[in-house]
Amino acid sequence: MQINQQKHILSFGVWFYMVWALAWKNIRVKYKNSLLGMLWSLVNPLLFLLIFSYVFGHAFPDIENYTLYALTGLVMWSLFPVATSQTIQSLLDGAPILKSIAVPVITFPVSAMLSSFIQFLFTLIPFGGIMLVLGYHPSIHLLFTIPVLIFFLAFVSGLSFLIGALNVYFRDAGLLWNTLLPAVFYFTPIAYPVNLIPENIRWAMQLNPVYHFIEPFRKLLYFQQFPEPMQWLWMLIIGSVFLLIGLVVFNRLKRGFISHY
Amino acid sequence: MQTPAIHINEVSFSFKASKTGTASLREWIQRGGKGVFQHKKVLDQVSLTIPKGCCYGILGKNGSGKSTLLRIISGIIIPDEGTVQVNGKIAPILSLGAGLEPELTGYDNIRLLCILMGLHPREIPDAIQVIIDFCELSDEKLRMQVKRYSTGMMARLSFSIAIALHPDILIIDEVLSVGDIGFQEKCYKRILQIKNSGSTIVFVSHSLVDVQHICDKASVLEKGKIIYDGDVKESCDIYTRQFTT
Repeated sequence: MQINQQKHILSFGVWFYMVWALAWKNIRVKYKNSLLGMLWSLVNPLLFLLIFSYVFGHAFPDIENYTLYALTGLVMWSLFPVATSQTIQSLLDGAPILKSIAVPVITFPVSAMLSSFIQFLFTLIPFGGIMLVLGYHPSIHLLFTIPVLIFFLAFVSGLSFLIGALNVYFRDAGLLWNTLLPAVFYFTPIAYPVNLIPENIRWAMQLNPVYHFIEPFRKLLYFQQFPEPMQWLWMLIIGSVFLLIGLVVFNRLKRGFISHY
Repeated sequence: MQTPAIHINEVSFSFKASKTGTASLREWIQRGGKGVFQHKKVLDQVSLTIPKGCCYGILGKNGSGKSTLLRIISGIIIPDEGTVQVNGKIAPILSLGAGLEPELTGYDNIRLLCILMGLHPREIPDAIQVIIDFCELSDEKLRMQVKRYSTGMMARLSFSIAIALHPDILIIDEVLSVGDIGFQEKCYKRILQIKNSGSTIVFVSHSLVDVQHICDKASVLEKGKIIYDGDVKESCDIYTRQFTT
């Protein structure tokens, strides 16, 4: 089977311009009719921070500066639910355009990832302020959160492409994901320390991919220590494996999307 | 011989539709996890050659596979079997306001769709100006969110986006019937102008007057097969007879 069409020869520059334009559109549309706009992406993590520091602050007296501890986990986590759900949804929202213009399908989830990452970056400004107020001292470790975020993005992208593609066929995938999200949240040591988990079932924690990103991130920001080589290796493996699986599955399934729009 | 603008060879496509709901889940489990998708054949071994500069009409009842055929030509759908060769740049398929983002303004929509059509960033400012001039919507209206547009205005906007940029191949999917008489007249003129400049047009319409007025050749599609290909007058007669017998 062969398709000979000029449309398919698209330079990376022009394609990225599409991604950028769509990401910008996502952000505009999302906050178009709201007064606080982007500030809303702060509200959810802040609410959790309040609850956590009030409720759990007393439960873990041995954690010094518990609010900062919880915040370093919450900041990282806040990207996860937003990015996955927006990326999954982008493949459904893109249907009218995908039905009328020959745009590469991957443009939609990639731009949704980009727009949720931009929103995330904006929240880092006030969160950084809060961290300073809570007694955080910036150090060289801060720079090393960048590779952690890159690996995390690879993981989140792969996962979202996978669920997003399945969701076009069966909407159950997205519904299931929304059900699982809170479970993953509580299963990840965000509000509590890892050593709270009994030694004999701690291996189960290792099965949670998010754990492998939250821990190094917190290590850099809260403990001001560098992650161990093993932790970097885990991030590299999880990030690339998820991204690869996500892209392969997405490419296999995208041909059938049109039947389900 | 000149290379044709569009050459489609024995193209077949079926929709893989899944039944939804608990009944289908139960059925699926009973069948041992096989055959979740029902294949519904939309196009069956369709072959079509459209020469450069031709205005080609496609007639057929609702559900005969016209839109799917257009999407295959545009590269939106990749067929299950057969080959598609398209020489030239294709404008997006027009259907009423599809692809317009209701929350954004007219200006923003023009810009976004230009980018998504794969125009180079350098070409975009000119393209936007051409579209604005063509659609004849006032500055005030173009600043409004598209969700406040009337159907006619939306059609005007999406039609302008597709038509104003002078594509090599223009695909029109029954949209001429909307818009007021003035705009319809303008669109006809523009279509003839595009045709005279040597571009190829694929035209789907239920208006036999339009088809006879514009097209050089036509074909009739029935249940995913081309039952006639050639003369415009003959195609119209065959199409009309489908309803009388």
